[in-house]
Amino acid sequence: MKSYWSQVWPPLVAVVLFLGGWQLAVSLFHIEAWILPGPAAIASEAAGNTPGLWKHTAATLRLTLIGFPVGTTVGLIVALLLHLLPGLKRAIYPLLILSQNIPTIALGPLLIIWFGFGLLPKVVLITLVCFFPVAVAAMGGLAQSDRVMLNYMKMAGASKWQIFSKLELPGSLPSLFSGVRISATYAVMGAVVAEWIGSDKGIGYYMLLQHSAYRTDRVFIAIAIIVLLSLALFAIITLLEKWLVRWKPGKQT
Amino acid sequence: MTSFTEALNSASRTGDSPGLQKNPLPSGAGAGGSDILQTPPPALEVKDVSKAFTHRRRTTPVLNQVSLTVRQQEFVSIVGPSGCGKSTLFHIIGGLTLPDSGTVSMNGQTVTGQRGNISYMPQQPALFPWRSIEDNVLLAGELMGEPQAAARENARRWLTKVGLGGFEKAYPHMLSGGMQQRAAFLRALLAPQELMLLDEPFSALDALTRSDMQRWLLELWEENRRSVLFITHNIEEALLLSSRIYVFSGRPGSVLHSVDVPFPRPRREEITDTPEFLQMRRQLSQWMREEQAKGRN
Repeated sequence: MKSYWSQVWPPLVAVVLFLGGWQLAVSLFHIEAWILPGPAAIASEAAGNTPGLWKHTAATLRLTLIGFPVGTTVGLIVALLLHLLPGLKRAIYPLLILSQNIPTIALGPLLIIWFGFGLLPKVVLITLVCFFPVAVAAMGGLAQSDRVMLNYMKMAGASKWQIFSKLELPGSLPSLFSGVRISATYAVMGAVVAEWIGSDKGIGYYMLLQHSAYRTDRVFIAIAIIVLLSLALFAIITLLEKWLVRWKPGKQT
Repeated sequence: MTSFTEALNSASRTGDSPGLQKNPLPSGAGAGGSDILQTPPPALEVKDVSKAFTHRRRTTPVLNQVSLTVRQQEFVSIVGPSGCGKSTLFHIIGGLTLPDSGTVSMNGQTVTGQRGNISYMPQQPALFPWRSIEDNVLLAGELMGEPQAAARENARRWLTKVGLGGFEKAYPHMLSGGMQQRAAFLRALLAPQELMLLDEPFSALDALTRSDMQRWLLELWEENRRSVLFITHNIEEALLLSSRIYVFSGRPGSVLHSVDVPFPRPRREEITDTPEFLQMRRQLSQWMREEQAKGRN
């Protein structure tokens, strides 16, 4: 518990100091609210509008919680397929990397043309953003199994499936999770961009609306909500990892 | 059987050895004198095995006409200079690599290139970090599809016997190097395959732990009498443990000498001080030195 606190308080102090400095600067230099509102003004605006904000947050959350598992699963399936079929991996891998150079913003309108305004194009967009880190990390982890353990398995007469399920898969978990954690933050971003492009609710939509009305304070509220959502998802993944990879030696013993 | 176990227990209870055996396993109650020629086919017979590796159009011979035999319930060691192809030989016996020529047979059947016939203990413990010690020890049987409930019972008994009681549910990284090596040895011992291949199992340990483990292995083996092929750089270790020693030449590896070790069993560490032991050690060391010198030229 003590070590937990020693990890938590430095960033906490940094955040508090940053907010304090911001507030001080805004009131000291008399900066107009439509350029840069102070944290206190943003907070009171958010407090005064909770039901509306909650509606948008819930929409984004729902979209993220649908898109992220789909994206992660697709990433996992791609990784497993390419790992088990090395010939396919050589053919597809360059294409996968290429796919990451397509800007999401350009892809969004196309997806809407193809799939309409419903849930589907948004989930596709989040999936496209999410699957790549998972796929790359999982493939790396699967290919890097320990040579000595691999030799042991072969000598002991293990089948291909046994080598995969008892050695490669569990051994790839730490690497896989580093990919999933990156995907978790990407997923929230993906959801916001998706709402930006075609939606009538959600934080992305709210942000766009307030931006065109020069409500800078509300744009900041949207940013804060996105950050909090990402952090929450990140924390859940980290907890899950701690539980699943509990065999890993801790940093301090 | 009972008389020699009792003798062993009363004779060598030095107190610092972690895993002394009290009860012999039923499977280990084999004939006492493995030095006598036996009628059943040998546990392992390697015949005229040669192997060369080709890398960038250059062919390096690694093994040259190697023949060796491990009889049923015999402890056989291979000593040789580094790079004498011992690991390649193990890979060939284990079926990971095919020899260019020659055959490997076990219990009278040719098994060249077949996997899953041996129980293997690598140089590093290579315990799976995500498995508890108990699950690690059970791995070999699990791979062969053995029923798990009875095996688990047996594994728990053994873990207690070898001084790992209380660590059944621990993960490997929580154990010291010597304890990990004992768990790895137990994994090999409890494997369903009869023949054990031990690849320099103690080379990564410090001197004190090493001599501890040698004594431990000697006692354990003398009660269980599995067929063992043991690779080591350490001549004293080979003399203490084995019934026969093959001395390998430098690259390409071939059998230079086959030495029968006459000391009666059960053996005790004290034999290392006898004149016969010292003489054999001198002889083997000289052979090894000559080979090592040849390798430098």
